[in-house]
This record gives sequence, structure tokens and C-alpha cells, in this order.
Amino acid sequence: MNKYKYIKLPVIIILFSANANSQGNFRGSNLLEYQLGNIPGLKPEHQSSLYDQLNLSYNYKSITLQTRIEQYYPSFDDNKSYTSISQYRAKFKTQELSVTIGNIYPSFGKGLLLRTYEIPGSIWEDRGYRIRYGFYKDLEGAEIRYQLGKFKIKGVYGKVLDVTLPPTLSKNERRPDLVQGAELKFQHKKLALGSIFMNHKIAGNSDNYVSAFVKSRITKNLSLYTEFALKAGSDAELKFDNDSSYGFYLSLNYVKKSLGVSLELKDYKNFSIGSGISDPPTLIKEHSYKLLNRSTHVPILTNERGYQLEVYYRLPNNNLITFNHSIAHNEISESQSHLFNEFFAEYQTQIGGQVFANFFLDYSSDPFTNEDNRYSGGFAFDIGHNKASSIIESQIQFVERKVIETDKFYNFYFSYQFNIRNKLTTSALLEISKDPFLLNENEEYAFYPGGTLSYRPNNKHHIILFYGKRRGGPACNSGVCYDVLDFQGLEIRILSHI
Amino acid sequence: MKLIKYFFGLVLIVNISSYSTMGQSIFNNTFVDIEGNEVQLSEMKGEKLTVLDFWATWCKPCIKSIPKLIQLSEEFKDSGVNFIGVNEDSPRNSSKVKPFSYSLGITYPVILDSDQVLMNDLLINSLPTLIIVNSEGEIVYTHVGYSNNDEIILKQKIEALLNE
Repeated sequence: MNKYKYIKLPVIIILFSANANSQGNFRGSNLLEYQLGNIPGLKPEHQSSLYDQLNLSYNYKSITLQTRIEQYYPSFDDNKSYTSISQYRAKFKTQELSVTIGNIYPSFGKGLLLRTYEIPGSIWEDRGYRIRYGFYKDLEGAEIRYQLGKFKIKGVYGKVLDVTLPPTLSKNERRPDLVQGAELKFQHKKLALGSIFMNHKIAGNSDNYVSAFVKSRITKNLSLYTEFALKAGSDAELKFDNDSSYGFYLSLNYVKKSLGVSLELKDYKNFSIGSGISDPPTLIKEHSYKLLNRSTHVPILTNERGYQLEVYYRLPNNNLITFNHSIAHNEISESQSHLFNEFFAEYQTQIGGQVFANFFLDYSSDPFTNEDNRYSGGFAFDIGHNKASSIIESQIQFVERKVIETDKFYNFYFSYQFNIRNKLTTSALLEISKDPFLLNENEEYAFYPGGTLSYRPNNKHHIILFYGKRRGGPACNSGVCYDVLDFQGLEIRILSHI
Repeated sequence: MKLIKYFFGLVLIVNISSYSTMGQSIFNNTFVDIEGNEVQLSEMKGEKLTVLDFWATWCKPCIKSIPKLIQLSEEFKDSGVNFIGVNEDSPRNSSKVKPFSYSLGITYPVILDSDQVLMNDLLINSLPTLIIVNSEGEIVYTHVGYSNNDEIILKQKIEALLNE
């Protein structure tokens, strides 16, 4: 019965909004997902669960109030179910001043010291807890931003959520990191200078960090951003030896007519903060192709150096060439080091105005996962029909992986999608893998067939139905990489905007 | 019991869907554009309509839609309709936004929302999302996702809104 107290708040907000609408704006969204199935191979084969996330927002003049209610009910374990007001936020904003209290998403600089985020529409679940909840890493506390002429100051205080821990744990367990800090920024024309101070406390330990950054448009075509951050107060802070704790990031952009170039450098040493409150730029391409997205490198913040170069060139008729090269070097010990490298090339073209085609080739080597050579290629055709469209996509990957013996295997991905005016979409997809890590005894191939049906009755509601077997593994989305569980069964997702 | 609870939840959602959305000025926000300029949204809005396209460099349908949006922005530029690209790339990809925008030939302004402030305020939960805002600051149309030929729907919607 105690759970029902949580229902009262949205009801009050909704009733209140009937009157409030005449004075401001009420908005909301809801994500509901039902699953009937399990991780392939686990018993029972079919277990059901229901996850719901309701977001409500009210705005009147300078004030915004927001809340999020999450609920999860699995059929298999009552101890894993929960109903909670997982977020609340009150914001007061004028031209110069912004004050926010509650659950917020602040960052310092490029995230070398602090970055919080949300992956909208994503649901987190790991194999250990088997509890589903919204995928966000927020800070519960307060943020104040103030602008005075060319100066901007941002102050942050609060506890950061460890996204790997489920809502059934206590708040203290889920928010082990206390952060308090400020960022001062001075902007004059195309030049911005900034400095950051941050104090971080966890489990009785307290550390101070400082950072400085420069952002400048050097010429009309060339821009620069660089940031250097370090743990303050230790003897090793400026020696740059093995005991130092620092992060360095630099990016250069060059543009001219149809050419765009981005070059980034990184050097991170002993720079993992607390339970993972920082998120320095990874400098590894975030691929939208399924097989490449899975074959990513996650930076090792204890020791990683590298660079990323990305070049874009637009040919006539909107044809676009993209080239990417990235290197990440990890010195694990004096005798052990790893060098990740990747080369990626893509060609996007339009054929006759109704066909949009992409072709790509990729080579990468990731000794950290023992995958010495990965060769990938593929294509996608998006074909416009009268009031409808089709997308055909195919990808292939050959991997050489040496653990004790060298395994050589292929991964395949095929999909076909038919779409009628963005209202009704149906798709079929199939993944096939010969990866020995995925094969059961006497199995030659692992198959992952699936189908989706998606329907938008209007621009406020979206219903998506999936049935089949979905391959999990590493996935990168909105700049964040995480592990997705395999799934086999039926999944229904309903997205609503209010 | 759980089913009853969720039935209640669904009824609640459907009910609140029926409430009308009143105007909120989203123009009272300051951002940095890809050129490094600090810009006030109110200074960028269209005389009649403002089209905000939320996109990211890693989002495949976003990239497909952009050449079509460039065409639409050119078509409606003398009709009091301004287009603004709202980039949602995180620090992981933000350094690529300017070179990528140039090579795509985007002619309308692109602002950076790397902390997802505007996206969170508007409860946007997928990319691409395109919203059309009238001169009062009210959101009058939302379009989620992009499929080939969606620009025809957008064009018809803009024309209908201009004729209202």
C-alpha cells in the first residue's frame, strides 16, 4: 500500500495542471516497455516485465518544475520491483541568472572532470541485478549559472548517480560521489578562457582538481579547443610521471568550402575519478553501423594516449566522403602495452534524388580484446517510393582473435525496412555469427533473427513491437558506451508525448 | 493487481494527453553557435515560424534529413520561416560538429546544446526531432524521426501553418 503514495504526486500535478495550463505550459512524456522473454539460454524462457517512465514538466515565465516517476514490475521476483520518484527539478531562469535544484545534468569543460548525461529513451539492465531503469547519470544537488558581461560563472554542488546501481538500493549507495566545484569563463570576441576548480569526496577521501581551457577561432577557417586538468595537491602533480594524475585534450578544426577536418589529441593518466563521474572525450569514432558500433574501444583512463583524425569532403550533388583514423595507446605496465587503431572510410551518395546510398570499409586492431585484426564492410540503400520508402542494409566483418589459439570468424548483419510515410514501419533483421564465444556445443553458427513493427498513429504516440532474438554486447549511443544484454522474446514499447 | 495499476497508469497518460499545450517561450535561451558566437534564440527566430531541428553527427536519419531541410529552408526563407539546427553531440563528438556542418553545406545557423539543456526542457527523447514554433513561442508541430520523403509532410505542414 505504501507504494501508492508515489501515485499521488503525478495525480496532484495533473490536476493542478488543468488550472496551471491557463497560466503556463504543461508538458509530459511517457515511455512504457513490456518484455516477454529472457536472455537466450536462461530459464524460464518466457518471463515478463513492465517498465514505465513518466516525465512531467510545468513552465510558467521564469520557473520550470519537472519530475520523473519510474516503475518496474517483473513477474519473476517481487524484490526487484519498484515505484519511485526518481527525479525532480526546479529551475529559475532569467537572462543573466539560472538556478536549478534537484536532479540536473551539469558538466565541467569537455567532461575531463565531470560529465553527467542522459541517453534519452534508453533503459539500463545488467546481468547481475536484472532490474530495468532509465539510463541516466545525473547529479542530485544544485547548479547556479550567472553571467556578468564577458564573464560567466557556474557553480555545482551535489551527489552523482552511479548508473550501474539499481533504484532498489539506497540513495547513499547509489550516489557515492560528492562533487562541489565552479567554472569561470571569460569570453572576448572569438576567444574564451576558462578555469575550473572541483572538490570530490568519496568514502571519506577528499581530492581537489583544477583545470584550465582555451577556446578560440584562430582564423575564419581554423578553431582550437584545449583543456588541461590535474589532481592538485600531490607532489607528483607537475612531474608527469607514473604517479601523476592528469588529463589533456586538444582539438583543432579546419573548414574550407566543402572540406571539413577535425583533429583531436588526448593524454589521460590515472584520471579515473571516483565511481566514474568524469567522461573525457574518447577520440574513437561512434559508428552508426551495427557491427562497427559493437566493435568499439572504451578508453582506459589510467593510461591512454592517442589521436583521432576525421575528414569530410562534399562532392557535387551532396555526395559525401568521410575518412576517420584513430589511435589509442595504453601502457598497462612496463612490459605490456596495447595499441588500438582504426581506419574508416565511407561514401554517401544520392542516386537520382530517390535513392540514398552509403558504402563503408573499416579496419581496426584492438589488442585489449585480443582482436588483432577486424575487417568490416557494408552498404545501405534508402529507396524512396511513392509515399513510402525501403532501406536495405548489409554488413560483414571478419575477425582474427588470438587468445590461446587464433580464432578466425565472420559476423554478418542484414536488414530490410519498409516505411509508409513515417507512420507504419516494418522491418526484418538477421545477424549471423561464427564467433566461438557465442556458439553452443555442436553449433556452427549463432543466428539472431528478429522483426519489428512500428506505428505512429499521430505525432504524439509511437508504438514499437519487436519479436525475435537480439544480439547484445557493447553499444555506443549519444557518446556513451555500455553493455546491452542479449534478448529473445517479445517486446512492446509505447512512447507518448503530452 | 499489477495489471490494474498499469491500466490506471495508461488511463492517466491518455487523459493528460487531452490537455492542450499552451505557449511557452523557448526563445529565452542563450547558446553558442558552431562559429563560437554567443547567440540568443530570440534573435534567430523567424517572423512567423521557427523550425528547430535536433540532430547529432552519429544519427544516421538526422544526416539523411539535413540536405532536405537545407532545401526547405531556402524555399521558405522569404516567407518569415527561419530554420535552426540544434546539435546534441556530447563532448565525444562535439569537435566534429563544425567541420561536418560545413561539409554538409548547412546554410542555416547551428547551435550547440551539448549539455542537452533544451532537449531536456522540451522532454525530447529521440533524434532527429523537429519542432515548429510560432511567433508566440508556442510549439505548434513536432515531427519525430526521418524517413525518405518526410520533407513533403514537413513542407505541407509549414504551408498550412503559414496559411492559418
